[in-house]
Amino acid sequence: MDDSFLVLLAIGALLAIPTIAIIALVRTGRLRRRLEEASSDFGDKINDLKGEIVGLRRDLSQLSRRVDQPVAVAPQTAPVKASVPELRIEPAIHHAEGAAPPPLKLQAALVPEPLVFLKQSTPSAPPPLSKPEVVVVHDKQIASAVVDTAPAAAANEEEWLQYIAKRGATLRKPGTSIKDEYEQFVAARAARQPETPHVAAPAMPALTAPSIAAPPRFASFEAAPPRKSFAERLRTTLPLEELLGMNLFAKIGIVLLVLGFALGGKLALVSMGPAARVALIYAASVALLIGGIWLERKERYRIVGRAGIGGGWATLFFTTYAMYHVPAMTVMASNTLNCVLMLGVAIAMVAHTLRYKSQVVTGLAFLLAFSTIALSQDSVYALSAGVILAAGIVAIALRMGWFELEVFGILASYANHFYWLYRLFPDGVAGHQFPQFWPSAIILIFYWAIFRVSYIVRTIRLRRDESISTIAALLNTMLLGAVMKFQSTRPELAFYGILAIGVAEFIFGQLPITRRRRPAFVLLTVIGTLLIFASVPFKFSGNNIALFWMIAAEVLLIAGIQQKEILFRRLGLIAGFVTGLLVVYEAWGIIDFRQHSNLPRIQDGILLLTCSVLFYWNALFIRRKWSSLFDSFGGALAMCHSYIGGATAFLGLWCIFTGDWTAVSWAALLLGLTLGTKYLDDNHLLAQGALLFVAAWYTSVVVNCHLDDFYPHHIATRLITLPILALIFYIAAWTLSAAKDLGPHPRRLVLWAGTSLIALLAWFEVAPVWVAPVWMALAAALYLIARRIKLPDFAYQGYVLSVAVGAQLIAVNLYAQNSLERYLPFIGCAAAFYAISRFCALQGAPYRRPAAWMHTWAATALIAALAWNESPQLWLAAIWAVFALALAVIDRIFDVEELPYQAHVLALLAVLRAVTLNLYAQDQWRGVDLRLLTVSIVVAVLYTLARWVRIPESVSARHVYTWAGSGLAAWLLWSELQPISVALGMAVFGLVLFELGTWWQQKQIRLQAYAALTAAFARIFFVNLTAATLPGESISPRIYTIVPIALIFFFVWTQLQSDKAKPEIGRWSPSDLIAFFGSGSIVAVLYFETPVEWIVVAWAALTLVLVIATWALNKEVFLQQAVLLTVGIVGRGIAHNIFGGSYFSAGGWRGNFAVLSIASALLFAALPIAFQLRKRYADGRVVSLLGRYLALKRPEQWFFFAPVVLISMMIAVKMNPGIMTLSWGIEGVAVILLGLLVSQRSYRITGLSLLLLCVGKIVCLDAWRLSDTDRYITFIVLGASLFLVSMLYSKYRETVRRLL
Amino acid sequence: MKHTLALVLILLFAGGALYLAQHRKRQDAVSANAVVDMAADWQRDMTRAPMQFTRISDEQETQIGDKLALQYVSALPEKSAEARATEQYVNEVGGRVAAHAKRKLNYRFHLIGDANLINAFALPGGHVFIGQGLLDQMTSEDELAFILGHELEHIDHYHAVERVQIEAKLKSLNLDIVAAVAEIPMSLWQAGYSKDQEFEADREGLRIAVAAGYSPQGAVKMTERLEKLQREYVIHAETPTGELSQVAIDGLTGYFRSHPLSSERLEQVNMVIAQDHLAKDQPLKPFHIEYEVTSGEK
Repeated sequence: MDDSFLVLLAIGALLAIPTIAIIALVRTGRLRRRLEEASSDFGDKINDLKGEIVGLRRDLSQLSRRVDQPVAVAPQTAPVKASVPELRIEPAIHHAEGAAPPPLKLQAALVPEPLVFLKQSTPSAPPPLSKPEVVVVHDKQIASAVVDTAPAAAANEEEWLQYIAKRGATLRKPGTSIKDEYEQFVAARAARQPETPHVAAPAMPALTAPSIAAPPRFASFEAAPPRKSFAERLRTTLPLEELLGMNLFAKIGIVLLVLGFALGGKLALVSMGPAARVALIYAASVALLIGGIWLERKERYRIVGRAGIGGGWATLFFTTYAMYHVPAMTVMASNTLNCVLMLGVAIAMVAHTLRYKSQVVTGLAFLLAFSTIALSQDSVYALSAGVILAAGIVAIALRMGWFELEVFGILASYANHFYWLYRLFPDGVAGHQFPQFWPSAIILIFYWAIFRVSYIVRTIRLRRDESISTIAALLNTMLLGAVMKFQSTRPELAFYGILAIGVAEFIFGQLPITRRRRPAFVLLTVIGTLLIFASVPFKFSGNNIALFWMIAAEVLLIAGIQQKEILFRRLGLIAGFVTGLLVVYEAWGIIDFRQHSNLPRIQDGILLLTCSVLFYWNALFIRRKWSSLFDSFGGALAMCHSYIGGATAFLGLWCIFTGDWTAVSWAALLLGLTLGTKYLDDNHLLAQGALLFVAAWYTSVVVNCHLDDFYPHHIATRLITLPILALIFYIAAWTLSAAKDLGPHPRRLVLWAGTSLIALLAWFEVAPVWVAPVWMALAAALYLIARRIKLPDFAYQGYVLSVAVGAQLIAVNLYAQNSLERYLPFIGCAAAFYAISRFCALQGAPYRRPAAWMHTWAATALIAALAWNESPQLWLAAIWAVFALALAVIDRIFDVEELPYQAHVLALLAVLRAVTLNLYAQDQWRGVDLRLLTVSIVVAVLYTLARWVRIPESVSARHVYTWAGSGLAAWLLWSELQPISVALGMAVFGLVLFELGTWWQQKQIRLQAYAALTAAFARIFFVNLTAATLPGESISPRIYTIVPIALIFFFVWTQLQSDKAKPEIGRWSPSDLIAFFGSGSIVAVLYFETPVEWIVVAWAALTLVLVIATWALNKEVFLQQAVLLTVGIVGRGIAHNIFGGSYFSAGGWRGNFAVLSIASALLFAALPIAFQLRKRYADGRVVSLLGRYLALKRPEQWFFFAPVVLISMMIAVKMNPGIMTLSWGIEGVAVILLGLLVSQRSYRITGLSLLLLCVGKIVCLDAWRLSDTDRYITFIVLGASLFLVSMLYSKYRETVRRLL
Repeated sequence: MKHTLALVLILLFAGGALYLAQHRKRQDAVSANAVVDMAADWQRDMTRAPMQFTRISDEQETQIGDKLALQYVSALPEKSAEARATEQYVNEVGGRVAAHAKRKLNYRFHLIGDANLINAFALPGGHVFIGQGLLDQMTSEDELAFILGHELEHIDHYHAVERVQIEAKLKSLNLDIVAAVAEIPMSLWQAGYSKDQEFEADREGLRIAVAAGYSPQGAVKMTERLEKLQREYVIHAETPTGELSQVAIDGLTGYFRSHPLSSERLEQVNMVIAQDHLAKDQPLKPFHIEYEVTSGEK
């Protein structure tokens, strides 16, 4: 008892002291704040004045400079332009260019202020005459003012300034003002202007954009808006960082701190007693609170301070809570007293936080208050505190306009109540004894009523408030329903409860106070209506629901029409639509029923058709009668009724009519809808008709066609219903064709459906092999009818039937056993295609030509297919090729424009056939190789077609044939020759093509030759180079197969040199490539024929030969090759001869001085010739890209550096370190001497570098490592860190912005 | 006129070459070997310098080889008594040849009892594997000595360890970690080496086999048999496109499968015999495998 008393005393003291301190601080804070505000205002004013003084002085100095240096100094001001807004003096610009000067754009804001200020600042010291610049500036200011207000604004400011400067210290005439003087100047200038055009000084072009610096306060001048820099753009993103760093971090940090204190109170400070812990945490709470209050007064730390206040109160509240509930801190035995204390703290918290007018802080206070109730509620009556809090929140929300707080209050109130229920019945109240039902329900109703009244009576100022209020209103009803459902023990009362609330909401919505706010009226009316509708299924079921709903919907609709209230109409239409969906949903079972039964359901059908009539009544009558009352949304809803009517009619007909007659009934309905479309001009009926048409057509195909019964069976109903359906479709199409505003597509679909049914009837009732001729006849009839009545749809249908004819012929007649059934339909249909090709389209139709083409193409394809089916396989390619030739000949004679294209296709097929079959054939025909024979025929036809076939578009296109022929011929070579001979054969073939191409002057033939030569070159890498010498062979096959190829390359290259060497492809000539092929072949042979260590020597010798060839033939290409080969020599020499080789054997990497020395000597031998070539190519003849990249103007560099590098590397790797240094030294001296001898600076520098390398040969590098470590972060430290970060952000926020 | 004369001469020359090529006794295989040879040689040459500067020690090489060998051997089926005796015999012959290797490593020889494996390969550190299929091709111990000498020289001349180093670089493997070493598949070793390395292994393998007392004719016989086998495996494509795809696939999958032609290997063997004045008439030793079959019951 004593301890408790002491603790209470201590708490009282702890609470009293901070309270007094807080009051004192608040008062002193207010005084200080006023003082600071006054000081700040005073300082701002002083700063403004200082700024004005600085600006005026700057203006003064700039204008003085401009007067002193009217023209020449102007450009010096240009650099200022980038950093400050421009002050444009445009007359000077335009005048300098000889154009009429526009008016000055100086605004009045520029002038009056400085004038006033000057007068004020120097009242007793007028500008002395000995200082003209002061006077000038003064005059200029005045002049600017005059210029700005006078119509003579076109005067040139520069000239005016010059005039003033020339006048100097001369006084004005007595009695004349500066304005008068300026007007005189302008008049004189205007009179002078025609005779003396302005002559710009030489420096004037630089004056095209003169500008002077202007102080920031002159921002009203016309200045180009400064472009945002990257840093500025980043700064715009800083608020997010501020939000995190200064705001969220502070709050999260304070929450963590509070939790940390809580943990500390529970777990730490083991040696302390509960009272001491409570006292300690109270002290911390008070410190946080005081600190927060102190910081809150400073604008910079306001957010942090408020977080501190919230945290302080939270800790205070927690400590109060812990005094009873936390065992380690229990100092109180009475739960009631503790509850009272907690409520007291919460009320104090609310009272205090309201001072700051911060919803967040007040919300935090309420949160804690509600938490108190949640923790301490033991009976339903304890919840009454929650009612008080709810009422308090409503009061605050209404008074302060904090409607967000009310949302929180709604959530907290219902959540609190739910928590209480949940603790009693975790699985819900249903099935349990619940004596507190009515008190609980009353409390809930009270909550709902409080918040609903708040919603109704509030005054809305902002749109955002309305949105939040709407959320609150919705939450109120929803949470009420949810909690009521949780505590429901008698479900039979749900109907009455929901109905009552719905009626109440509806009535609330109709109150005059509510109707003043349209959103509130709408929301409450909608909620009420929904609840009323929702209540029905709780008591009724089946058709009764639809009945009630339909009645209510119609009532609402009629009320809406009578009252002219759009909300009622909409609700009525929506309700009707939902009811319709329900009806359709209930009737949807007919689909399952029809899967197994064809029994009619007359009653259901009549009911559905009645519904259909009602819905169509709403959609087609009411909407049209009162059309002015239906807006777009209402019209859309009415349109939905129309669709519901269509659906119910569809289902109703399905219930009544069964079997083959279902489709007929739907088709009839379709006809009705098309009539409705026509006479009511309602396209929605047409849309329904489209859906119905799909169903009718699908059913007619699936049901009426009797798909399982083909010829020779005949079905009577099929013979009856299909023509009826086709007839109805045709009539519907005719009806639709009368509707003027409809496109042709709906009619087209119906027409297609009718024709398709007739075609299907023929397919089912006629023998398969004669179906194609029947369809052909039908197509011909359709073509003729189309031409007769000028209806293109029938022509289109004929086209489709033609395609079907082709497919039927290929699929059925091609495999007929009887040859008559194969040949007669094929030939007959092909003949028909050819015959009607020019009559298959309407006269003047744009597609007439392609339609005709399509038919002849079909005829040709049928004949080609017949040939494919009837001829021997290996001969087919030849037959197709000859057929193509025949078509080309016919075209030559009769000029049938599509035949050449058919010839192209047939030739392509022949080539494909030859490629895929003939080239692999091993058969003989009368002792002749059939592959050789047939492919040769194809090749011959291709070359013939290249000359005969008509290709008007492009002359060179005919060379596709020669390319194909050459390709086939090359393939034939590949097939007939041994692998090692193919490259040589291709080279010879290429040579022959080249000679022919040159002889006939056919570039494409020559290109084929190049392709063959390229293939020959590539081929040697895959066969010839890997062909080893066999026992008994004196010459390597590599040599005797590749050397002739190289000779052919060089021969062709020679011809290209002598044949005017004109480019073959664009600007590119193959000449160089062929030369590279030749040399490349030799290089490759050397690589494979020479021992591996000696390859570099062989290549070096070849390099020397190439250099000599360049010198002798004067052909740059060989020098290119020599340079490339030199690069290869260096690479191989280093990689293989220096670093490669064996580690142990004498022939390894330490014994090859001779090889590299010889290679280097050969390269050095090329050096004198290289100097000669440098002289030759120094005149800029080297123009090729490769030549430029290889620096052919300086060949002597290549043939110097390559051996030098090789020798240096050889020395480095193959000699011991001491000798290596000595050798490099000797080499360096030798190189320097050579450089001196031939006057080459690069050689000398190389030598010097070698000597330098000798000096600094050893370099040592040490390495070091760095390692990282990690830290462990505790709860409190993290919170404190976040808080600290927030403090720092607040303190240095300007710095942070500047750093960005 | 000059042009026509030159054209005729070239066509005649090419025709003669065509005649010779068409009447060649052997159909040559179409392959990417030429390109692959060049690429492999260049790759090997380019990596040689870095390999020399980053050479791993013999101890580390032995450790890696032991890990790989343990992994491969454990994956093999259990050996029969005959296979064990054959392996013992291979170890005896290999031991005699290995005594003349330049690097004194712990050389061991393993038999892979797969009759279809006509191949042998070496791991770094001293492990040599030989397939039963290759043994079935041999008729004398001298041939076995040449093959084992060839594989030993791949180890002796750092070919195998360089292969490990390159593989480790390509796959970023840490050779100090057992699991990383285990990622190297056996097929890597079966693929063979570059043309230069194979020639070197042939050359030096023959020398150490002869130094161990075997006849150089074993190398000649073995190489001739391999050439015959190679001819049997030549497959010709039916179309140019098929040939292209075959060449492309062979080129990609057989990057290291760049063994030189057997005819060229035979040529080199004969050249070494002539250069080193090796005895041509030394008789060949027949196989002499002894083993005992027991029931396992005592």
